[in-house]
Amino acid sequence: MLKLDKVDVYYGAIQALRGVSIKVDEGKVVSLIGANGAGKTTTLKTVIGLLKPKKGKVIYKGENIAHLSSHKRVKMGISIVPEGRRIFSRLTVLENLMIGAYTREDKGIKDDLNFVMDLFPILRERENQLAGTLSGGEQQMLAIARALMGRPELLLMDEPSLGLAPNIVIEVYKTIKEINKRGVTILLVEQNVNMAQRVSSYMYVLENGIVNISGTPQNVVSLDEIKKAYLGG
Amino acid sequence: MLSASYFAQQLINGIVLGSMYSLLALGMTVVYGILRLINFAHGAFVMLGAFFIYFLTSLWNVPFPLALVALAIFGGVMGVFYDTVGFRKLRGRGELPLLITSLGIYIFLENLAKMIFSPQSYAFSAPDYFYDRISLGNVSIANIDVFTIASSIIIVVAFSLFLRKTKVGIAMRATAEDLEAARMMGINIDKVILTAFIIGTAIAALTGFMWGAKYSSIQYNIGFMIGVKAFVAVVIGGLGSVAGSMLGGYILGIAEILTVGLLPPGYAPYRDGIVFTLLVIILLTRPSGLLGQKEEVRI
Amino acid sequence: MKKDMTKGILTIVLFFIILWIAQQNLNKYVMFIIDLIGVYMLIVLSLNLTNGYTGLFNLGHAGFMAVGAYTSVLLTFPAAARKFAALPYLPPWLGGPNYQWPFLPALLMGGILAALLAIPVGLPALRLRGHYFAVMTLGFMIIMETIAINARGLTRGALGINAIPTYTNVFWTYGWILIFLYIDIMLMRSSYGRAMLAIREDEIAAQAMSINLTKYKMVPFVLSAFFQGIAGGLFAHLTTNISPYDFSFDLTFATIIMLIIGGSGTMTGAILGTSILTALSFALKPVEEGLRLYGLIELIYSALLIIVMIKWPLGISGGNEWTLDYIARKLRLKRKDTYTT
Repeated sequence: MLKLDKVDVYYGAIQALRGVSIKVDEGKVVSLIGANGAGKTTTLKTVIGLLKPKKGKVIYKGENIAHLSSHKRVKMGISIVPEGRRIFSRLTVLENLMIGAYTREDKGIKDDLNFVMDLFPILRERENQLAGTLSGGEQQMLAIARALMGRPELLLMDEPSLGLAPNIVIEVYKTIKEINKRGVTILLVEQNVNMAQRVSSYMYVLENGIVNISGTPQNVVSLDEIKKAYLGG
Repeated sequence: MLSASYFAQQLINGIVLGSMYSLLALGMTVVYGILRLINFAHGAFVMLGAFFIYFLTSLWNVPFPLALVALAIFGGVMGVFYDTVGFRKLRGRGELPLLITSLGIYIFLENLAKMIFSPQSYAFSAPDYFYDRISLGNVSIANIDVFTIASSIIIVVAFSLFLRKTKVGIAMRATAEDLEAARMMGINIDKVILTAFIIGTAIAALTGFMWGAKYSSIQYNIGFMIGVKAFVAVVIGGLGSVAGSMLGGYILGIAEILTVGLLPPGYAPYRDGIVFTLLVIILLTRPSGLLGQKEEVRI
Repeated sequence: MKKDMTKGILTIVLFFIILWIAQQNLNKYVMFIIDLIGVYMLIVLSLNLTNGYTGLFNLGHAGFMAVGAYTSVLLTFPAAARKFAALPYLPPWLGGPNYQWPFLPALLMGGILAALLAIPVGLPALRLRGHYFAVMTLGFMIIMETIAINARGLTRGALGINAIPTYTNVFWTYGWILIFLYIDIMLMRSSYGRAMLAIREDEIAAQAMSINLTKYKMVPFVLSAFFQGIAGGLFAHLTTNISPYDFSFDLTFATIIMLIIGGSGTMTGAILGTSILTALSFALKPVEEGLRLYGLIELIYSALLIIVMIKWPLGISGGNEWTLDYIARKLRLKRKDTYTT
């Protein structure tokens, strides 16, 4: 479904990604792990189109989208749950959800609204409240629900567990599984390797903008260096 | 010496001026909200709008209501030019380059107008019925004043509804809050910004008519002070707040007229100085304005 | 180091000999233009201290110029002509009704008053971020203009003051530029100058390194106000008549445009921008008047500004000081290019 082919990305003169190649098959959850500043968020921003690669291809459904603008990519079925949630705090919960469906013109928006509110009943309760007044966990759910409103085929998730209480993290991951079960392909960026390995079918490890290690979660996690760096063992 | 009716008359003048500032502040606050641009060129569109409708009605005898519609369209088209010539190429280049460019565009438009229309001033008049007066006891109010006050209220209310109820309006608010996140949600930022410019300049052009009709004279250089004062109104009300820009516009308009009307005549020429003293005081004591959110340093 | 200094002094001496020869041979109008370029250059160079080095966008410099101009004119105006010009006599503590100041102390007094005024203006304004600072200083300029229009007893208001004695010549203007350049170079070589540049590059990082932002912005702000005051005095005694409108939007924008087109942040950029644009405006003046296209010069200025902002945000200088070494290196590079192709 998604393939990054030897992608180079720069911030000005600084190279953030060096020949990154990643493959995400349809229907799977693939995760990208790595330390702060390794280039995980940069990778997602390259997929959603905020950053354009200097070299390499971003292939989505067989088409190179590397030079398309973000709104075209969203329209093609890519949605993102951004790092730090980035919900619009001065908009109501409902307005945030409608922004999620911004590129859509089909008639199914209402149904999807019902669907995400069933998935997160708290959002229905808070429908007309300003999103900025929600708690951190609620904001994360809103961010996920907002992304789902785009009816994505590929969902990008940037550290959905960041800054949340452990019980909420578990809940978020349950939702991720649930979303995947409904046929949404997911590219997950995490520092929480423990949680990521439970949902993923394949993992990539990013270090200083380079993918050095990849494999099934069992294989990756059993590597000593991964244990040392991410699992405190 | 100051009779109640004199005071009331001045108050009306203040509200009329305030209505015009509100309209301009609205266009500026929206653009500021999204681009962090202090739009110095905004006043140029007031001037160009005034000349446009002057030529349509006084010279070519276009029926007035039609001319007003044409004026709004003219304003919108200018907004398209303004964005595409100036700002589309400057996306992501920081506040100062934007401000400097808008300054450059202002100077360009003013001098273009000076070349085309000559430096002289033109006697501007609206259709006669605008100068009929409705009397309310001791005070009377001209139709043009009613028109200006009413249109400003209608436009501000319509714009608020647009921001609350329409898809593009909601997207505009989202973009103003977090431009990058809005892009990630698939909002076409260029379209949103273009819409903001179109609305802003169309309103500015309409304000040009009100300005000319109220003060009966237009000149190539009327724009700058109007624009800068409208920005002062934005700062007073609070950047990025629609209600604030309206409030700021009224406060500024009334304060300006009352200083001229109530202070001894010797102080009248200090008018502009007083406006900017007000700006300085607000910037120092309440930099986020009366209704604005506290602006954080964005990294 | 010593060799550099001799080189520098020789260049300066040579420059002033050229100026002297020019003054002996060229007609008055051409000398006036060269002189005016010098005055503008001093304004633009001092503007570069704030707008170029520290990234503050000062729009209030015309206000400081006005202070310098009116101060110097009021102090030097011939005592005998004061009554006729409707200007006040000097009070006893400034020398009394029969006294008129010599040019240099009057000029200095103008600069000092402008610098003193910059302190209360700067204290609040320098705390404001980027474009707020621009708007506030613009407000300051407008306030100064209204005061100049209304304080008729001192300024004769909108009528302006005429028949100001001509004192300014090329040696005055370029002499002051020399003094400015010396101070500017010394400042930028000091740790203080490096801190100023750090602020421009990244305010937040500079703050994190515990650089006191307001303090480091205050020195260039006050210093530039001083030289703008001096430039105001030079301007008044060059053009021999001033009115509040001389220190208003037109001057503000023209000088800002010169700095940006030349390349803000470099001295040579300021010098280039001023020379080219002022010369251009005098070259275009006959065209503007002949075709009755008033506004043509400003139109071209602003079009250039917009193009520069979009295409070459660093201006002509490209962010580099065009020292002789730099030019030589550039020429050498170019020659190499032609060889290889």
